[in-house]
Amino acid sequence: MALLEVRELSVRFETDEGATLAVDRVSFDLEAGETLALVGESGSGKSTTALAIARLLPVPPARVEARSIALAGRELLGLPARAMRRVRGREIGIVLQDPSASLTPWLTVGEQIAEVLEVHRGASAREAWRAAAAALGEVGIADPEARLESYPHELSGGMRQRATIAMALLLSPKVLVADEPTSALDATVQAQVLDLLKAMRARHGTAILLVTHSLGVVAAAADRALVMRSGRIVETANVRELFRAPKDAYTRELVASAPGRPS
Amino acid sequence: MIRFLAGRCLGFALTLAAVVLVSFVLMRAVRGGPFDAERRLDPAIERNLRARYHLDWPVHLQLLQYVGPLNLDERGARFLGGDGSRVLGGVLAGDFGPSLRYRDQTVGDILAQSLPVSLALGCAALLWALTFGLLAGVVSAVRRGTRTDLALRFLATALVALPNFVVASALVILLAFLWPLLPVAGWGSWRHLVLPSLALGAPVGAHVARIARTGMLETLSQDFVRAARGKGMPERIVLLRHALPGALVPVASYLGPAAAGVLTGSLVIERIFAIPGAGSHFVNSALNRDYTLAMGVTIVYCVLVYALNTGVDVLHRVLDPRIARESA
Amino acid sequence: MIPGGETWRRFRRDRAAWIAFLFLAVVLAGSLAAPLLPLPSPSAIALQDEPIPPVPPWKELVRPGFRADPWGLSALDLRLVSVRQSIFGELQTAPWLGTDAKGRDLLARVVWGSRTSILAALAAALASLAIGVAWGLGAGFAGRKVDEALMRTVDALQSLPFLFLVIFLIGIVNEYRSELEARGIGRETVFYLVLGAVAWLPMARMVRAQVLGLRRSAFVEAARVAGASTPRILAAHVLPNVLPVVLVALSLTIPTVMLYEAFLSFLGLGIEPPQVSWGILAADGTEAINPVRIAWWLVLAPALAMGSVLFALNVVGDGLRDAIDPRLRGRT
Repeated sequence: MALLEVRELSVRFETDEGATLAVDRVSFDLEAGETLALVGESGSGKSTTALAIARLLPVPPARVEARSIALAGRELLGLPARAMRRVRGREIGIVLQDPSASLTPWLTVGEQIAEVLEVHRGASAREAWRAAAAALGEVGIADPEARLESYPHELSGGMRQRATIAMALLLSPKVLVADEPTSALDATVQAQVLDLLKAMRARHGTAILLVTHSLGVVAAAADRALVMRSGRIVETANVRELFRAPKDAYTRELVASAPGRPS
Repeated sequence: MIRFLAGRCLGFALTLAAVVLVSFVLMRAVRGGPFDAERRLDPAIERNLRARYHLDWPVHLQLLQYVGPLNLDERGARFLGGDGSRVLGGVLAGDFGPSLRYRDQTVGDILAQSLPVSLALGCAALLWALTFGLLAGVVSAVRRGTRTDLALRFLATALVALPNFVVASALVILLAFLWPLLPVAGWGSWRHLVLPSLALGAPVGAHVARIARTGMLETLSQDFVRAARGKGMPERIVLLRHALPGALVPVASYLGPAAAGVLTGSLVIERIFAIPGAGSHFVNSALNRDYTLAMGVTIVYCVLVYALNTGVDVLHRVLDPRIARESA
Repeated sequence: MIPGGETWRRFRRDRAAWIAFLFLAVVLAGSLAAPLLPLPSPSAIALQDEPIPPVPPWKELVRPGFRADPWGLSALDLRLVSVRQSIFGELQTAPWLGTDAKGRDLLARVVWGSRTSILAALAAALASLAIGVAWGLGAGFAGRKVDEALMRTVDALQSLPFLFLVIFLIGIVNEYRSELEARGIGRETVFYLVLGAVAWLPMARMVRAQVLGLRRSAFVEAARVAGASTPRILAAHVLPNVLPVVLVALSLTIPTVMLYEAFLSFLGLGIEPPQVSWGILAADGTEAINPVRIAWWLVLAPALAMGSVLFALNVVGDGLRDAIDPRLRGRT
């Protein structure tokens, strides 16, 4: 039994201009400890899939249907909101695309990290603060105590993303959903963040669902990849296989147009 | 922050100086004077009155006398030709002069009596406006599209569409005549405060509700709210801690100028409920050409507006730390 | 963002805004056709002591007794009234909204009073467009110093107590009333001019903000690089994109001005009887309430009139804003 099993997930968006099918009966497994990439161009439905699993899509206008979404054997689909809220943070961690947009501008970094512990673990303010500093140190941020007092806009993009990753892994969740975690970052910083993800995975044993449009990221960080197009999965393969011998025509196009190759 | 406030003070001094200058000169440049409205005065008496209040001096000397701090007339310093009994005078020395209409009272006295009343009324009105407005706006945003939302939006739009004296009339009919709960007129106890402050605050509250709703919806659609939910934060914390401060920024922007108007007491409300506030002085001083009272009232309003606007700016920085960096 | 067919279509799809728009059109039509309608005269005084409560139309539709009161009517209006008399004769509507203490039918007063409100709205709109847009364009396009000067003036003007300003202006104007009337500028015209004089400030601000945003935008940059002259850039690129903001600003300014008119008429500084305006109706209603004889209909009539029209204006304004920038759509 895989860690995360998704069966026939569909997402529809209903707007005044009509309904669009963003995700069409997608099914896949995520094994414990592996990094699975959801690759595709924009509009392929990859982000929507990932967010739907964590139940982070606004409903309406989104409508999510699936036969099953099971995490460690437990069915997530019918869970009441309060229970799902507990799953988020404790069992599923989220890292969103634009780090400057995913941290609340008027709370310090420390407050935002500490509140996770206060809410989920009932930690006191002081304990939470200490743990927050430790988490920041773990992701390689220098002088973590000082950084806790900073507001998000006072940190660089790379530091913000590290802080977000620290926050997501704080409670050692089983799955980390990372939605384009490096797209908004500079090239050099991208590599650092990917390395960080790999290190954290090694340390915590977290499985990572990595959404990305960049094959370079897939090559650098993922074990397996799902290629998505227009809401459907067109190919599933081990990353090496994917680059060496892509089976689907679309995948072949993607690989051919990608700058650079995996080492 | 200190530098910011100092800059504001300087700007305020400049603006106030300009306003005083322009109003002063304008009032005296226009034909007619403060004694026109009274029963036909004997020309000799009128001349005496004008002389007594220095209205026959050249305008720039009148201005200097008004602003102070040196007293230019007979009671001024000896070197100015006075008898030395009163060296300081004018606004900078705290003297706003006598009212040209109610000549046995100084402008300072008149304002000291009426302003606190208007301020009390205004503060009560703002309290209603903020409480109900924010509540309605946030609830409306959180329950967007539901019947609650539609009902609240309808109520807010309706209140914005009515002048506050119409609201006052409706309230009086409902809560004082048909269902005698509260007194209709007068001033003295907290019960006298309820109806007028409600009438005064209702349209402001409606605006606050509309702005808070839009601001809340805007903030709720941001990524960091999704991220907060992604951390598994309870909805209450997401709304109050992560979303609300963003929605409060446009509310603060609106409230600054609106509060100035409210605090100086709506003349109309004061008239309907027979409240001895400063609102009537605003109107009557302009109509009566009571220069000194009119200037006093203008200065008070200017100070209030400036103080409130500065307060709003400070609030902006507190609510959203990014703002300080942008304008630095 | 350029308004056109797409924006119009989006606006029409917003049902509430569309209904409000149609309602306003009907009100406008009724207001223009006021002399032709089979209403009682709004100013004819009947000898009675008490206001008459409303008589619903299903109880009594029309009754005889129409008397034309020519006071304050223009030549055109007089002719229209005589047309009305030839069509409907003596018949007039029953007092569906009641009458006031002087026997004047409230429905008629509401309909005739709408003309004043509309004139006030037009005055504000014209002033906003003429002064506000020019000011805002100037501030947005010119160099920093000019911009600062222009906007500081707007700041200073806005920090003056509005009511005070208006009363002061009216006071000044009253002094020179005889000179003005010799030139054919009546008290009313002055009143509308004064309203317009304070109405342009928000427009100037909004236009300037929009122009500043546009100046940095890609297509203006492209046009400038291509060598287009400033007037050309203004006409071709800036104006079409400022238009939406102008419309939205108008939809905010007009209700404000109509409320100002109500306030001023309440204070006796606006329209003078026997001219009727909604402000005067509201004032009459407010002053007539007393615990003995609760003539609630005197407050209801102007409340309904002002409330519904300003409500509709606000809804149309909201609809315009949504239609113009659909990104905001999900948020309203």
